[in-house]
Parts: sequence; structure tokens; C-alpha cells
Amino acid sequence: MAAEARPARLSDTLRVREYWAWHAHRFAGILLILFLGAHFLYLHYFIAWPLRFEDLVRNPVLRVIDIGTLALAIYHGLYGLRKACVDLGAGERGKRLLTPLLLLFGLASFAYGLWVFGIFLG
Amino acid sequence: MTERAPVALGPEGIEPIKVMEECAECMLCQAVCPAFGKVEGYAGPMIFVRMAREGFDERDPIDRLREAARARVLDCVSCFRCEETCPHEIPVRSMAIAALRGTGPRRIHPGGEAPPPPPASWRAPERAQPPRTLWERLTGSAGSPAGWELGMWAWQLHRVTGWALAFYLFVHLWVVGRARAGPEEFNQLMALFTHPLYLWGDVLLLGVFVFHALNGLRLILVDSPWRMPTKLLFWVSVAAAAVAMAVSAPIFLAARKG
Repeated sequence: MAAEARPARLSDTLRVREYWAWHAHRFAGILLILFLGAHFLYLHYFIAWPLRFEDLVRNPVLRVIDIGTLALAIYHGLYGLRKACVDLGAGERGKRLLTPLLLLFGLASFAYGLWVFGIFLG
Repeated sequence: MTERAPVALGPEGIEPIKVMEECAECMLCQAVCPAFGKVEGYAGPMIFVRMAREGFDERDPIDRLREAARARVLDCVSCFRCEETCPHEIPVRSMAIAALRGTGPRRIHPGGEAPPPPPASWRAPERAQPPRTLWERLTGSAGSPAGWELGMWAWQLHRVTGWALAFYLFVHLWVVGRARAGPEEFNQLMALFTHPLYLWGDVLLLGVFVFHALNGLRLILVDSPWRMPTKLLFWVSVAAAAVAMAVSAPIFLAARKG
């Protein structure tokens, strides 16, 4: 097929599978600044310390922030760890071992987090 | 085989190729690169310059993004040592590698087919290396402090704060999980966290988060179409972390009284 000369688009990049994970990592990083910023703000600036259970229940905004932060942080954190392991010389074999392990750990942590947040729904 | 009409490149199209053509293949960048020889299959900065030179040519029939992904371009750690070392001052990281990552000031023209993958038996050549100490493995240093320019420190700090934040995340999740035991237990647990040690820890955590967030943004900006003062931006993120800690410390610590 004769590829037309046209400006490269993001979709061209995303055809390569490894880029998906990497761009998602960066995007999650940007979103985390907002989510974690909000998390920090409401915990330390808008709620009196020590935290009381009653302040946290039945507040849908806090739940959205918490669940969003949790999902983004788990993905961003574990992909970052995987990348650091590759930098430290994990190699192809290490990566084949790491990817399913981290995936499993991430999903389990997220499920656990959702279960924990369940109690705050009151 | 793709048939292509022989099209002449305009001055616009030639300009980025000329920059890449400055490369004399002296391999200094390969020599200083902390990822080359350590990350399996990582082709190294010089190869990426050659790859980008081909990809900037709009008549190039090969899918260079795919080729670069196979050569592990995403494992570049953005330490800028290649760029600082290059005797011809080629923007190795901010132009060639950025473009091969699908970002950056210059785009790689989409080629048709990806080049064939190497045979299954192919292995990245092992570079003969002196045995590395645990410290060198953990810090990624080539063993000589001479290689520790600012970009290297920035990357190490980004990595260390990343490890710390990831560790904290899961400890934090486990602690919050104690809420499942009920409101009273939760309130008792939270009362423990009014200890000054914990509150200072929270101040430190905020600083680590602010630095990692802003330095991460800096790494994204480096890949943007605009030329970035990378060193200045590193100091901006350090300063912002310090300011955030200084502003928040009194507020966090005042919380002790509830």
C-alpha cells in the first residue's frame, strides 16, 4: 500500500502497543496532580483533624475523588515501578514475570479499595 | 514493495534531517547513556538519531515509530547526558528521541510497513561491564561521579520519590482499610495520627508529591513542541516543593489540637 505523506497523528503513535501503556502512564500522572491535590486539600485544609468517621460518610464528591485517585495512583505507580525495574536491568524475562504479577496486585488492591470505601457509603 | 514518486523535499522538510546529519557516529552518547547496555534490547541514543534522520524524511517507507518501540525508545530515562555530551550539539533527547516517542517538536512521518522483527534467536549483544555494586545498580550510575550532571540527579530524585510514593500508596490503602472495622476503631486509629512525627511525615509527603508531580510535568514538557529550559524547570519543581512544605507545615501541625 502506498502510504500518503500526511502529518503524523497521535493515532499513529498509538498503533504501537507499548505506547498505549506509556501515554496512559503520563495522562494518569497529569490527572493525579488534580485528584491527589484535591485529596490533600479536603483532608488537610477543609476537614478538622483528627479525622472523624462521621466527616467522611455519605459524601459523593469525596468518594469520586477517592476512587479516582485510587485507580489512577495504582496504575501510575505500578507502571512506574515496572519501568524502574526495567531500568535496573529486569530484562525480557523479568518483564514477562513482572507484568502479570503487577497486574494482579493492582487489580487486587483496587478491589480491596472499593470494598473498603463501601463502609463510607453508610 | 511500495512505489513512490521521486519527490524533492522542501527546505522545511530538509531542515530536521540536516540537524540529524550532523552526527559523526562518534558514539560518545552511547558511551554515557545509563540505559544502553543495561536495558535489554535498548538501541542507544546514536541509533535513535539515525532512526529519526530516516523518519523525518517524508519519503521514508518504513514505520519508524514501531521500529523505535522495538528498540525500547520508551526506556530512555531523560537524563540528557547524550545531549550534553554530543560534540555537534545535536538535540538527541529533545528532538530525535522525543520524535520517536511520537511527541516532540518534529513528527516522524508515518511509513507503511514496520521493518521485520529480528529472528527469535536474536539477543541484544552483551556489553562487557565491570561488576557493579549494589549502590550502582540502585542509582543507575555508571560508577563514576563524573557522569552525575543535573539531569542525572533529577532523574534519580524522580525515581526515588516515585518508589517512596508507590510504597506509601499501598501502606496508606492498608491503613485506611482498617475503617472496615467500624467507626469507633477508625476514629481511634485516626487519633493516633495527630502525633507530631506523623504530621511532619505528612508535610514531607506533600513535598515529595509536589516535586514528583512537577518534575513529571517537566518530563512531559520536554517532549512538547517547544524548546524547554529543562534545568530551570527542575529547580522550579524543587523550589515549589519547598514552598508547599513551608506553607503547609504550620497548617498541618496546627491540626494537632483538632
